[in-house]
Amino acid sequence: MRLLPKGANAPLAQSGKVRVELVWEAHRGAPNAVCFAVDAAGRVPDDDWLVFRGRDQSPKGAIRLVLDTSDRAAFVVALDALPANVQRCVFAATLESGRFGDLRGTLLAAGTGSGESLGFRLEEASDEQALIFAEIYRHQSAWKLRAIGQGFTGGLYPLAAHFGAKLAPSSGNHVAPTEAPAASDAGTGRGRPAKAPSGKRWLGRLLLVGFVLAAAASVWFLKPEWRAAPERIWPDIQGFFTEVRFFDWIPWGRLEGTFRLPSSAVQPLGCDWGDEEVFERYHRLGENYVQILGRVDQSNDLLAAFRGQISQLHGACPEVLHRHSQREIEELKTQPVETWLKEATALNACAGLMIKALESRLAAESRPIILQRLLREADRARNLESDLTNIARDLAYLRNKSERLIAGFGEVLDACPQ
Amino acid sequence: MTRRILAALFPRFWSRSVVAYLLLMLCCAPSLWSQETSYSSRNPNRTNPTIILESEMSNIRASNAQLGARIQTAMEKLEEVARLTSEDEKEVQVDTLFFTLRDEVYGVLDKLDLNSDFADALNRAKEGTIVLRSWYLRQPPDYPNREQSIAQLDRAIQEYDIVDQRLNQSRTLAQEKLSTIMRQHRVILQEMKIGKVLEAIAAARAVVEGLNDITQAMTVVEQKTQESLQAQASVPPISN
Repeated sequence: MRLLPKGANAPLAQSGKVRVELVWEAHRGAPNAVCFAVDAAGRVPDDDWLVFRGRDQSPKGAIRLVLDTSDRAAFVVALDALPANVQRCVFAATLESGRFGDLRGTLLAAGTGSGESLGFRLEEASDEQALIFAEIYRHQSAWKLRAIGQGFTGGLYPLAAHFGAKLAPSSGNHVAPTEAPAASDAGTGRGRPAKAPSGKRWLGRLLLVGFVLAAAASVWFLKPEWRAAPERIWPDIQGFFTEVRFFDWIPWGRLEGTFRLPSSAVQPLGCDWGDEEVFERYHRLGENYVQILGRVDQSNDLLAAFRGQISQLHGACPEVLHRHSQREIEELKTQPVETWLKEATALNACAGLMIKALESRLAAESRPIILQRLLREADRARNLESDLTNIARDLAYLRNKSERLIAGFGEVLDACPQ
Repeated sequence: MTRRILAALFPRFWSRSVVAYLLLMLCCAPSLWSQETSYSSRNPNRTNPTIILESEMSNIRASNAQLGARIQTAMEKLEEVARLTSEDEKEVQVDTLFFTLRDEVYGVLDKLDLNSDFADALNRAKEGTIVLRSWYLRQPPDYPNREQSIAQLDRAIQEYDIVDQRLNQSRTLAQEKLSTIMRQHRVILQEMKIGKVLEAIAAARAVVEGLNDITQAMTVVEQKTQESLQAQASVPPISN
């Protein structure tokens, strides 16, 4: 087998069938192999051209997932059965937990069964949960293999979105938060050997206990103030975390509370919608945002007018002040500001993913006309993100302003009791 | 009529339908552009929140300075009143002075109110900082200055919370002082009526001096607001 370095390409086949196999060490991780058949624009013609465990063959069986075990996966591509608009078949893998940094050494091998096969070994990787290994692409009247080795921070879903495929949200497709790699995956139903030999397990446990004792000892020496005042330990630990306030209206009042996040934990990105749906939802959000803005401004002006009237009053308040104040309170309480704020935040995350996907495509693209189109799309996505951030900021303010207006109209009611 | 106009303008070389199509496109073009228009640009307050807060803070500073000046003037006035010979004239002057101070404190209370422009500006800046922080949290660990920006935004949010607390304290203080003015106004006038003029003027002096607490509280609000603006200043803006 001839191994290609990252970025290199070589002739693979003229026609016929090509087998592309991914091989890894089972105890290091459990990648899910996936193949995208894409057109000249780098997008799948439709979702059926995404072949993975959930859909093991493309239309007419042109691409089939023929092997999927704990340490290898294999696709067979019938080159002659691929439609003319399919220009490339991209071979990638995703992880539901762990990182590709632990799967360095994974090998992709491609060949026709006769002649020399080609391969690419993964040597550079870190925290990615998705990685494009290689692609086979049309070159004049034949097919070539190009070694890529490009990573994605998200999992299958953002990778699919990058190639224009849509996946229904499910637990298997959502981005997993960054977490320590699993040493074994017993119970996942893949039949892989999950248990380490017992001698190594005891050694591991001993090392873990030793590490915990060493950590405790070092903290004890480095934090003398905790020795002097053990009651400070918990408040100091709490200080490493940020308290996040949440607030929402429920039918019988207001629910608010706090939870704690590690101060700078990465909040994972995920998007349940395709690009066009994101823009549709953005327009709906924008229209509602403008309405809420107008309503709150109107309420603010009304409160100022009522306060001015009360300060000039001699004697009883007019009944209309009381009635209108009550009406304003009811309407402010039912405004769906929180709902639209959540929508703005979710769409902002989608815009961020859109930008990342476009930047990846820009980095991999050299053809001027496609570069131009991608740049325009990237500008559009950046404008979208910018506007969504502004809208989120305004809605967060309008949420707080609504609370203060409700309190203000409450004061008017107190000043003018019936 | 449109057809005649088109026929007159473009008799030979242009198909009328082509021209009509072009005119239609020109009319539709703005609506096509509007699909890309940012909605947040329709907010009349779409200015950098920190600039709005700085502007409102300078209004607070001006109001504080005015109150301080009024307090100083009122103290001088009380000295003059003490030297007056006519009891009726003393009563009138003290009455007027208290009405003036009451109006001044009302004005300060308006500036410190829950729904005042300053409270709005403060909250706009704080909520904007929180949203900005959430944006940074969604970026990957290797995003430039991520940790530093999050830490600075955390500090800015804490500073805004402190300003909020101080603002609430100042508001409560101003309300108490207003109650004191109104209560003492009545008491002092009564004392003057029964000949206890010196005691009345001493009481009035104490009330007026007590108003300095409001100016001190507002100075703290101003300082804390400045600190929160500085805490946020070093974080690069991501959008406006």
